Order: sequence, then C-alpha cells, then structure tokens
Amino acid sequence: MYKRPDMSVELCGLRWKNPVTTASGTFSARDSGGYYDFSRLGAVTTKGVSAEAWRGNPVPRIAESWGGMLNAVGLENPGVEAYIKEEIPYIKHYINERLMPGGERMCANTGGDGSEAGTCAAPETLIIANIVGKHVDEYRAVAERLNETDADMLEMNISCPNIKAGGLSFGTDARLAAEVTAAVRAATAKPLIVKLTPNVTDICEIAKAAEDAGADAVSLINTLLGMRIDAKKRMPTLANITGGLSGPAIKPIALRMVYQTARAVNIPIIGMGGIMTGEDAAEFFMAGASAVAVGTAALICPTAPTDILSELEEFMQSNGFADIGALRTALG
Amino acid sequence: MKNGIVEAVIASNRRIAEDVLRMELIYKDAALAAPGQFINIYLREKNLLLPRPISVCDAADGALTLVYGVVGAGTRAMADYAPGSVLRVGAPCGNGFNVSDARGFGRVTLIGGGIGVPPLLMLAKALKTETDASVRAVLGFKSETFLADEFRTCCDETLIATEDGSEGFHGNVLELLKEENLNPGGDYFYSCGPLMMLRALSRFAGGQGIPLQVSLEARMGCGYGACKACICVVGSRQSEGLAAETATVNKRICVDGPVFFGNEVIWDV
Repeated sequence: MYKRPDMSVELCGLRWKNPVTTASGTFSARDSGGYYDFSRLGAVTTKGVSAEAWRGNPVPRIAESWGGMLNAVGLENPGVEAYIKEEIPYIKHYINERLMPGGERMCANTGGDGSEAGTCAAPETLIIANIVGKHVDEYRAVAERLNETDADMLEMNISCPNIKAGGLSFGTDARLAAEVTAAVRAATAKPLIVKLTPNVTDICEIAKAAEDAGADAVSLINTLLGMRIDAKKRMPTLANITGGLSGPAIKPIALRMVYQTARAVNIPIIGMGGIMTGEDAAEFFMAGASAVAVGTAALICPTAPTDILSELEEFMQSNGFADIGALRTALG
Repeated sequence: MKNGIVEAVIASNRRIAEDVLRMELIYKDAALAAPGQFINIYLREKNLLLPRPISVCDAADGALTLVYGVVGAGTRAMADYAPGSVLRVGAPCGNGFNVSDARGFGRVTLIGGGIGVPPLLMLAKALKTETDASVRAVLGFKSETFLADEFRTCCDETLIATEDGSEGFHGNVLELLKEENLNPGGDYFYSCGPLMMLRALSRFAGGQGIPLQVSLEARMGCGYGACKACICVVGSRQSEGLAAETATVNKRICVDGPVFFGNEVIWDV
C-alpha cells in the first residue's frame, strides 16, 4: 500500500487543502450542508449572484435525458446584498463550527469512513463567489461589492445558456470575453476565474482571450445547449424551450476541452462536466486540470462532492500517485 | 449530518389500480416522516439520474407506505422493483401539512384528486389523533378508485367522485363539494391533486372564507433545495389580490413546500 497522497493544491496564490469544489448552481450551503460536511472540501462555489435579485425562468426548469439532465433555471438568485448578508456568513459559521477547540480542524484529507480522522492545520475551505450579469457594468458592480467580503475568489460566469442578455453571449465572442474580463479584473483584487462555455467552435480562443485580459484561472465546462420535446404533448419539455445539458453524458466533451485548453493557456484550469466518481476526477487532472468541480452528481446524490473526494484519494493511494501534480503529469 | 440516504427493503410493491402501485418499505427511521412530506427515491437505473420524489401515504414504526402513479420512465422502472430487494431512499423532505392550524374547527374536509389522494391518508390519521375535528374525505378519480377503504376506516365520512360515474358522484370533487347538502362553509380544507383542481378549489375556498392548505406537485431536480428547479410563486398570505410582481416571491416546492396555504399561491403565472 502506498503512502497517503498529498491532496493540497496551490491555485491562483491560494492554498486549497484539496482540489475539489462544488459546481456553481448545484450547491446551497443550508441545504447541501445538511447532507455532507462541506468544510471537508477545498472550496465551495456558490450559486451565481447578480447585482439585483433575479427571478429566473418559468417552470418546468428541469428535464432528465439519457445519462444527463437539462436545466433552464435561469440563474434565480436573491442578489448580491442578500448573498453578502446571508450566504457568506452562513458558510463561514458552518466552517468555523467544525473547528476543534484551540482552532485546530478535523483533518480534511480523511477517507470516507473517517477511520483516520485526526487534527491538522489544513487551510479553511475557500469560498468562490460565482458572479453573473446582463452587461459589463453589472458584472463589475457585483465584483466591486464583493471586495470587502469573505469571498476568497470570484468565478465570472460568461457561459450560462439560459438567460437572454449577457451570460452566454460574452462567452462565445473572444472580444466580449476579453472586455468583461478586463472590466472585472480592474474592479477586484481577488483571484478571478472565468467560467467558459462549451458552446463554441474553439474554446481555446476564448480561454486565451480571458487569460490575456487578466483572468487568474479558467473553469470549464458549463452546460451544453440542448432541448427535449414531449412527443405526446407535442411541446418542448422545458418552459424555456432550450436548456443546459449536464451530467455524465457530457464528460467526454468536457475532458476533451480541458485537455485542449490546458495546452493553450498558462493559467490553471478548474475542470468540470459529468464527474460522478473519484476516477472521473482523476481523468480531469490527467487532462490538465488543477482542481475539479462536482455539479450534477450532487443533485443525483447529495453527498457526491465529499464521496468523490474520498474516492479520488483512494484512487491515488492505490495507484501510487503521491500528489495532484503526479496525476497532472501522468499522461506524459 | 442530519440528512442522509438510507437503504430500505421493499416488503411489497403491487398494483392497486391501473397505473397505481402501493410500495411498502421497511427501514429503521420510517416513522420520522410527517403527513405531507415526501421522500426521494434513488433509482437503480444508472441512466435515470434524478431521484423521484414520492409523497408519503403512511408511516409507522419501521415501515413506510408509498402509493405512486406510473407516469414516466422512472416510476415505470419502480413498478418492476421486486419485493425483498433493497432501495435507496432519502430522509423525509419538505414542510408537510400543518395539522395544528385546523384545531378548533368542527370539521375538516380533505379533498384529493387522483394520485394526489395518497398523502391525505396519513393526514387523516393525524387529524383524528391530534384534533377534535370530524374528518371528511372527498376523493376524486377518473374511473377506478384506490385507498377508499382505508379512508373509510379512519375518516368519519368518505365521499367518492368519478369522472365517468362508475362509482359515487358522477363528476369532479369541486362539483361534489358544491352539492347543497355538503355545507363546507365552516370547514377547514386540505387538498392534494392536479394543479387545475387545486387552483379551482383555491378560488372556491377563498370565496367562502374557508382556510385551505394545498400540497403541490412539481418536476424536481435534486429534491433537497439545491437546484431551484421546482419553484412556485407565492404572495403574502394576508394580502389578497396581489398584482405587483415585487409583492411575490419564488418558493422551492421541495423544501419550502410542498404544502402551502391556498391563498398564498399565485396560480396564474
């Protein structure tokens, strides 16, 4: 049996105790935190937040498909003020409650059975605030508002297929992607991740534009634009007609895009798209990701993020990978 | 963690009407479920990803009863699950019926439509033990009835309506309620059924000043509050005739509901 792997990673100047986070839109601290201890994760990425509250799209907002699901939630959120007042303090409190007396913390890198639980000086779970907007000024306003908060990193969503203005249009045009990235870059000192859409001909072009405009990292992929039709009712299944496809069905596309992007940019990549197991996560690191996000898997099974973290550690231990860097260079 | 997924043993899973099955599940914490709550069923089929939210029909020490309709691929798969096999189920979810709100009322009328009938059975039992009200069930079906005998056992009165007139009143539950001798005026209403029925009932109850709790059904994603797929629009319970969008909020049916007061739901959105 090999030694316990070192799960920590360095990303955008911040130490993550492990490379697993939640994918935006699939994590609600109050609800997810009832099912698993999210303070075990390297970071939590919260649901997209806009300057003012957004109501989202009409229902039905969700439809299952073979091995995947379509959503058209439309970034419903209570707005940045409510996020700062309620979500961030809740997450902080949740994480701090799990500190041991004396400020030590239950060691984050334990197996799923907790048999080797101990204390260690692992860094706290980071908070990644996902920000959304309909125009450049709105993205900038949200980023600015988050400056004096406990959000550790910002993830700028320029890839949501479910809103009419902004969102996806910024992510499919290299010039617009650069413009909005530069504007947010100027508004925040926090590490900036730009979340990319797969609904483009060449994702590397957009990734490079984001990098050149000052992004510290890119995350990919967001959902693939798709639709379903209820043949018996003769109408689209989603009220929004189209939606974003996620889940295991999209993993090969996500993996290919992470692989291509890793060879096109020099900034780290947070990989996501259909990760269901620890071994799936390992594939993303081999493709070039520095961290991974678990999204749809957490809707399918609420404990998926920490389950996948445990599985990844087991996979690394039983296959002789000493750290994430070893996984990242495994393809040669 | 307070919530989790547990393994239950299927004690039985049999057809009780056309496309309606009754499943008995055996597991330790079954009795934690309250009337009007639902549980997420984690299907065995790997291609069917999302859990299926099914309302709780009854819960006793170590045994949970679900009565579900076969409406799509997931419930069709469930219908084939064999007794003796293991099924993964989530903790009871959602805010169920508020039973104590009906205290002080002489009579409670439960109005169920189709596959909305099952959760009212557990509610009927709770009302009988926790309030002094007499409990009347008004149950509507397309044609074939189910659970009627169980309601007759625990309710003071059980009335049946069928759309084709094959049993009981010929028509729907609302037409039956409007029959002169039913006098629901001073009652407290609880209901579960198709959206159209709930909307019409909400208007009827509102017009007569009858308090009403409704249990809403929705196409859910996660079933535990994370994805915001299953929303309904709710206004303030006190203010009638809300028009401005700012006076309403989105609520998640899975965790804020599935039970709401009829007069707080904005039906026409």
